[in-house]
Amino acid sequence: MRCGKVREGLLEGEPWPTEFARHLETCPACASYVRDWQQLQTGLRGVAADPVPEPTIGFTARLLRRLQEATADERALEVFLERAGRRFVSVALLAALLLVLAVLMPQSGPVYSLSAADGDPSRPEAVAARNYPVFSGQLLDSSFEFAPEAGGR
Amino acid sequence: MASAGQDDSEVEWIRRVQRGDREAYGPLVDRYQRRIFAVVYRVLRRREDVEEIAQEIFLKAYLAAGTYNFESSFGTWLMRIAVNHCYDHLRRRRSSKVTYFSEMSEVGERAVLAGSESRETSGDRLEQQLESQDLVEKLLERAPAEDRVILTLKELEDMSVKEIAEVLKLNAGTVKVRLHRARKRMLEDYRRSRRGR
Repeated sequence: MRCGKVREGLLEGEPWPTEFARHLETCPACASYVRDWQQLQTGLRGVAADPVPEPTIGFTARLLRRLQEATADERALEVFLERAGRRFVSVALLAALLLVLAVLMPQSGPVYSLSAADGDPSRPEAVAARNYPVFSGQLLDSSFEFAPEAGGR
Repeated sequence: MASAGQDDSEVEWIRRVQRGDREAYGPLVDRYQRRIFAVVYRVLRRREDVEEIAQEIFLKAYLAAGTYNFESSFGTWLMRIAVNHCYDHLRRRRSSKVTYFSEMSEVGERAVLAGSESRETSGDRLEQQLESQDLVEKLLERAPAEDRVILTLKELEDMSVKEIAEVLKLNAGTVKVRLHRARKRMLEDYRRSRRGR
């Protein structure tokens, strides 16, 4: 039997087969290894038996008070973020509204060109404006010239 | 669905805590505080810090209660938070930097041996036990965080491989391998320290 197998088996903590015990009788190195392992186990048991500190009186009450403070802090942060969020949304909405108005405003101002409806014969006022500029204010345009009278001097 | 081994009242307390009922946390703390104290003390070995660290663990668990889904027992879930918190403490303390005897400086070796040398000559069985305990304590204190946690859970808390696997969120095979390595390293350093005297 190999020493390595015995030592690995020891550290696995599994029950020992009988051939391991037989090996120990003939191998002083492994016997010493096992003795040290047993001493280490004794030391570990001693450490495990070392009394653990007990919670002091009022441990739970103190913890619950701390929880109250912690959750209050958390709530305060939530309220702050909620308010800041609401303000941000309001400002964003206002900005969006202003943007929409800025885009729409020019279209509600003076007419820069004739619309398709201006040439529509079904709208007599548009046709009249085209044929009789005096009624549509075109006379004010300096480029307009009166046609000479027929048979004039 | 509630995990096996949880009684109805515990499930009810947990559900109330998840709904934000702080008072329902009291009975849960009362039930598990000793277990948490034990694991904190055994992993960190600082008596004076145990209470404060246990409070931090319970605080953390309360704030994370919403994430508990009843897959494992509440005790296991709480233990996982405790072990992770202890890991963080060990890392912060950098106690895992200088590790086992074999990795210690000469000065460190002498310091480890000094504690047990005084009882060398007695030969008395009890003295020998105390000597081993003293040495084991010192070696555990200097062990890498991973070895220290797994050895504490197995050798000191007497947890099964399955329980350790649940707490550490590892599979049982990985736990066995890590435990084997940790034991081997510790035994080698224990032997070395004994021979060095």
